[in-house]
Amino acid sequence: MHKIDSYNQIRTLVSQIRSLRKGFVTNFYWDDNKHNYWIDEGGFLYEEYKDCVLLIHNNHSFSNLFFIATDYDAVVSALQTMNWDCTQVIDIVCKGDGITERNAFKSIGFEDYMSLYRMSHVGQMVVSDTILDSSVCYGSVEDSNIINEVFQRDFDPLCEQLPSLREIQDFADRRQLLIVKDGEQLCGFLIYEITGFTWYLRYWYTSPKYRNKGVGAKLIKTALVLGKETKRQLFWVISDNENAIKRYEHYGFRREDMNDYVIIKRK
Amino acid sequence: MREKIIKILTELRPEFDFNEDVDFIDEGMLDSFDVVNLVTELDSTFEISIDGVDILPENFASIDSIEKLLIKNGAK
Repeated sequence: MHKIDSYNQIRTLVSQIRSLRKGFVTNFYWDDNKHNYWIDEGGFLYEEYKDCVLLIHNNHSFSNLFFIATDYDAVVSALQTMNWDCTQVIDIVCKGDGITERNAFKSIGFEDYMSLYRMSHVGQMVVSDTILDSSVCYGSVEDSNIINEVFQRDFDPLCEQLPSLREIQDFADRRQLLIVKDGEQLCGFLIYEITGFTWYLRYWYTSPKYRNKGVGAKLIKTALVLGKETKRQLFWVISDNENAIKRYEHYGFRREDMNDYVIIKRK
Repeated sequence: MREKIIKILTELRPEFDFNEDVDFIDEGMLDSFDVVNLVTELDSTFEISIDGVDILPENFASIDSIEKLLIKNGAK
């Protein structure tokens, strides 16, 4: 396997596959903030095959796999040639049930792990209380360490591509990290991004001890007020997280036909 | 060509007005996920295969830049 040294290198790999003019499938969507760190840290690798390139991001106990290929058969063939010594995780992002794509991977030992779907609200969000809650404040770079611990402890790294400490610090630097504290105790946090007309909820968390006490509501209301000029608000939600989905629906979000099927092949 | 581009963009993200003179990427009207889907639609509509090295955000920032991209990649 070879280290990826730049985004340009990935573009060249995409170009090679597309120049074959035999079709194009991918599950890799470039994210400036996240993927540049992967490249910097040297843990983002690639391997070339006939009609397929695999991109591999190695974590402690598993690898996230991304493909750039002419079709799914090419991806499956490529995966079969490799000797893997850790659990492999693939996200298949598609409309509909993705059954054809998932079955292709199941034929070589992958199994369904989790599914997520996108929820969105179109139009400017009407938030009833437009006064920012004083208990919600921007998280600092120092808070990032605590939040990183929460991610490691309470989130599932297999189904959500969790931010690194550096990414969390960047969110804090860019004032995209909102927190509620009770003294030194972290009650909850929310990470969001605004790009022009689009508001994107990345993570929303309330510590177990503080659930059902309005902490989550304060965070989301504040984030929505800060993004009140946006015309589209969206995020991904784990499909069986019914409590969260009810809360999102309460705020006017609706399910889109855009799904992320997380499939894994255990070591 | 411009009308076809606007039609594709509008089908992809109906909530936005792509006739507006704004940067579609900077304004968050298209994200990297949309760009991949847009490339597929443009390939199919204009019967071309956009070169991977051209799949850069700035080439999808406006109708003009998309039109230039298509012409460069052989669209008529």
